[in-house]
Amino acid sequence: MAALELCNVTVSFGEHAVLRDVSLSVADGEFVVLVGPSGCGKSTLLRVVAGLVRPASGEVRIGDRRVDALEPAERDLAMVFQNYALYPHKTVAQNLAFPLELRRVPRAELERRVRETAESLGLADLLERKPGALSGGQMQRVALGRALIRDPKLFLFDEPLSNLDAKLRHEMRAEIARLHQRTRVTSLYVTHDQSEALTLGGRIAVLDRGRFEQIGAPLDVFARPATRFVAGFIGSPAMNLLPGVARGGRFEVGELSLAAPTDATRELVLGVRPHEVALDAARARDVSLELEVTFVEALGTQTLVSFRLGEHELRASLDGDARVRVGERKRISISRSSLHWFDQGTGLRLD
Amino acid sequence: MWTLAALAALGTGAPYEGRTLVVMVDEKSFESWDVLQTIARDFELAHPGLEVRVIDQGGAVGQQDKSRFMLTGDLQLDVTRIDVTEFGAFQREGALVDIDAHLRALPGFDEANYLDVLDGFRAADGHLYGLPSTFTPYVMYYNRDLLERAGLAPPQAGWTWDDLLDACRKTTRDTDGDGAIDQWGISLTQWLQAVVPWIWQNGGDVLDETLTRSRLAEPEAREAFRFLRRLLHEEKLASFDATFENQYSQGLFQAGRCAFYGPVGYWETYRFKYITDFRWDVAPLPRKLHAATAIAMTGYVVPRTSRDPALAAEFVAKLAGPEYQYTLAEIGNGVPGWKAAALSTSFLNPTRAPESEQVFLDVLGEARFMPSLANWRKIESLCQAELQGALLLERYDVDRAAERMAAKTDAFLASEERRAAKPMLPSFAMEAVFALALIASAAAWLAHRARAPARVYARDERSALALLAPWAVGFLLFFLGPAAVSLALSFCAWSPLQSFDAVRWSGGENWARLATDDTFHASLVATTTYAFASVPLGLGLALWLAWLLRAESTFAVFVRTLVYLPAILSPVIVAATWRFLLDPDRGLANQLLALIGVEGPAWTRSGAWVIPSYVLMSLWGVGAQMLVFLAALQALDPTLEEAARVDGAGPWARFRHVVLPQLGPVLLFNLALGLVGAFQIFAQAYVLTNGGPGDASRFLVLYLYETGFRHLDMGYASTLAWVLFAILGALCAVLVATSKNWVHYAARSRG
Repeated sequence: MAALELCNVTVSFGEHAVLRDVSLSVADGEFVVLVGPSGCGKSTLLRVVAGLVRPASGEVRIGDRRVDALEPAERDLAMVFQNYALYPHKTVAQNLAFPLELRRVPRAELERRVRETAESLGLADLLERKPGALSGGQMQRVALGRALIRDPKLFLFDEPLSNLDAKLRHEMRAEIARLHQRTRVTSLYVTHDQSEALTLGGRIAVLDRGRFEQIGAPLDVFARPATRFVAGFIGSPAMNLLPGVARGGRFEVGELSLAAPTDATRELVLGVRPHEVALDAARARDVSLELEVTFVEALGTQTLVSFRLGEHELRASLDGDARVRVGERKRISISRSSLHWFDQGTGLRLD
Repeated sequence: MWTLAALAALGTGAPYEGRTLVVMVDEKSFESWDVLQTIARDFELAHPGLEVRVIDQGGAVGQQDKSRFMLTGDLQLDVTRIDVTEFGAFQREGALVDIDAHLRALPGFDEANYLDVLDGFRAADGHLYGLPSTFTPYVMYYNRDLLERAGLAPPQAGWTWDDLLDACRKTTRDTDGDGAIDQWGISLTQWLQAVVPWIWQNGGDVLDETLTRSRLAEPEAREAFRFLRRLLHEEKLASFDATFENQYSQGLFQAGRCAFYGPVGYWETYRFKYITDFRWDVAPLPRKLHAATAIAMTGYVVPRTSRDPALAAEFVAKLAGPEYQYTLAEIGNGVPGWKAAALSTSFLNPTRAPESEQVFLDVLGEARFMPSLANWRKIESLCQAELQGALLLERYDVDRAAERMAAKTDAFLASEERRAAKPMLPSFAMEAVFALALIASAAAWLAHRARAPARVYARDERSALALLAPWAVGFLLFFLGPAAVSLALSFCAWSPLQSFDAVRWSGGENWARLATDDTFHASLVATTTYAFASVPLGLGLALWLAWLLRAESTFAVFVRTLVYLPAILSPVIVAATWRFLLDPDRGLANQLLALIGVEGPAWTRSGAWVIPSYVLMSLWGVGAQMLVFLAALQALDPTLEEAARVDGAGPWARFRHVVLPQLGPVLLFNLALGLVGAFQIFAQAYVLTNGGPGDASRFLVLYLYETGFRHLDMGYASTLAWVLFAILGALCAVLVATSKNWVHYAARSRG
């Protein structure tokens, strides 16, 4: 087990810079999730760590070794791929054994470890099958097993659950979490699914267009998104982001007018999480106004209601069946303490 | 039709309206082509309404195969030109029309107008089946300057073997003193027709008078062989020319490095007219007990596929007559059969070497044709390998070789006699086999259909059948039917020059012959060696190239294109290119080897190197296989290799454990197709070595082709085809059976 350190890593494919001057440190035994939209460079970052992509500049350290000139094989890490990358012509047992064979592990030892790994992942009955005869979840377990069996210093996961259906994804997510609790191997996990990131990560690192937007504990990132991008990306349903202008201490967008966090004239973005928007006007709220309902999505445990706010849309997530109809005007209220302010130009959080 | 008749009756229509004469006597590239066209137009003018269509006889490689194909295919052909050694075969197979009466009915026809060579196209009953084009007796060419320098007079008629021996001793020398002879007494020609005159001069013969027994093992013939061996090996006076298949060894003479060159015909004057640095001439062959020489000749004949034999015979006479013969004589094509042309200055041209053209006419009295046999070509090829050994190899038991030649010939002639006695099949037999095959396949399909479960989608089935029909019709008519006929023919004796009315039943004779046929065994060895060497090497190379070139760079795409290019070339062009590359003396391969101080082998002219040469050639064409591998490699999931890299696999381990196993199906595909292709190698060998040296490159398909179309034995050729089919079938069965152990088909995941 070892810590992982990335210093000023830059990767370009031709003219296109995929990672720009990225730094990250992962402590020994930590589980860090890299999250971001497709094309943000998160998989490339993982492949830089694995050694499958050479960075144009920067340093990669695993433990106290600098590894960016080393072959993947010499970095003592294991990787789980999105499509499992099982060798189709090898049985489950042979797939598990392959990394050990390459390291010339003695036969008896090898067989013992294959058996143990298979048992720990519930694969004992499938050892003689070929990948083609396995279900997606089983293949995912084999891929995990192949990574586990080597006892590596570092685990890399490249969207390992994205090919699974929703139910299985939840099961495997839990399984990976348990696995990490048991082994405490330093792990870097890439996903585009922010809910996966929130539930799995000891820390999450949000990546956009080749740069880290924010690195922190999941709930911190959720509660205090550092940038407008993070605010919009983390959390479901996504935060309402309403651009407007603060002038003379007031911020106005559509019918909404409220005290601005600054007296200067400045273009700002107001962020409001949908679940912070309430219908009942009984309690004293800092912000309250009446808006027209434009769209209603009933999801059972909650109802998503869209209101027209000038030329923008404000979405509210209401508990249970809210019994709201399109076209109605409803009074809504938002707690002032739940507001997020971002600068429109830089995208940075104000407070 | 009635309108034509009416017009003719009115006397206004052309009497030959609607009639066509198809003439194929020369190659388009030949100098006389224009004159031939003029003659055709003249003939049309003399026969109003007639169309004379002159078609190209094809290149030298074709060896008159085109007329055989036209005969086999029952295509109209009214006049063609054949070699006199083939006349026996064509005439006995009923492939030619007896035009004797038509010729004699022509005004002014007189045998006395021709030189005394008409017998070449005269059948046993005395009837003329054709007239000579040009011919040549075999003579001896000599370098007058070399002889004079050695103090020798030019050879005169009546000179003897001893005179030749003496002259050779005096002219063979090492001129530059490096210990190797570089000026030879004689450059000997060594094919059977050129060797036979020595046997005749010594009182022997190839066959006895009944043409049923070989005389090659008799003392007269052996003595002739020994005399030649004495020149070649014991006294080393003759150039040892390994180019047996590449029969013309005129290079030495042309270079002024031998005193004599022969026995050889008039055709060399055409080549030697460019010699300017020494004087040369021709002399009769030296004599022993007798003066004797052989005649090579071609002539004009009327095949059985002629629609108008009388008119065709008239055109034959035209071609053999003055209009064409003077032209041929002036071109230097050979001695014209038309006597006046041969005696004119068109032939006896005083301004053109050789000075003594008269010699070609003088030796006619002692000149003979090869025995008129239905299968002279087969006998030539039976004797060829032994003859080569007997003459060219330094250590060789001549007596045993002569006995083997005689035994092979005798056995063959005996089997031919037995075949002639075999019962004829009814004239509709082959058609019946064809029909039976179609009926059987239809019945099999109907039976299968009856057993199949009830069809819900009748409409789907109808459209499926409609879509399949064009292919099915082609398959039945052009594949299944002919295949059935060929299977039937493998139990028969039949010449492709005949119609299907003349098929004889020979039972298992063709199949039994496989066991004792040395040529077949040699061809099996050659083919198998070639296939088992070229296919694995080719696959390995193709895979390696694909592996190297799979990157998507401009350079890789460029190199890929280069590597693939030869694969789209015709094998004939490939062979022609390699002929230059692998030429033992001037070829690029040996010149490059010489640069690094290696003396290159004789490649296609060496028995040991001819198969490696073909393997080399085949490797040049791996582009197609490379492309298949390339497609397969690019279709592979790259994350598997990445996973293997992370798992700790180096490049070789990744290739061996991850890439190669996934290529299994493609490997099987390329292996099966490669084997099938390799076993069918033909065109290169046909163009380049024609089976030689000896039988070293007589691949199965080449042997099959020769048997069917040169030796006119379609029954045995069919047997060979089925043997090939069985071999390939067995190989593919073994491949498929064993492939379960090494071919993994990727199953789709069931997520």
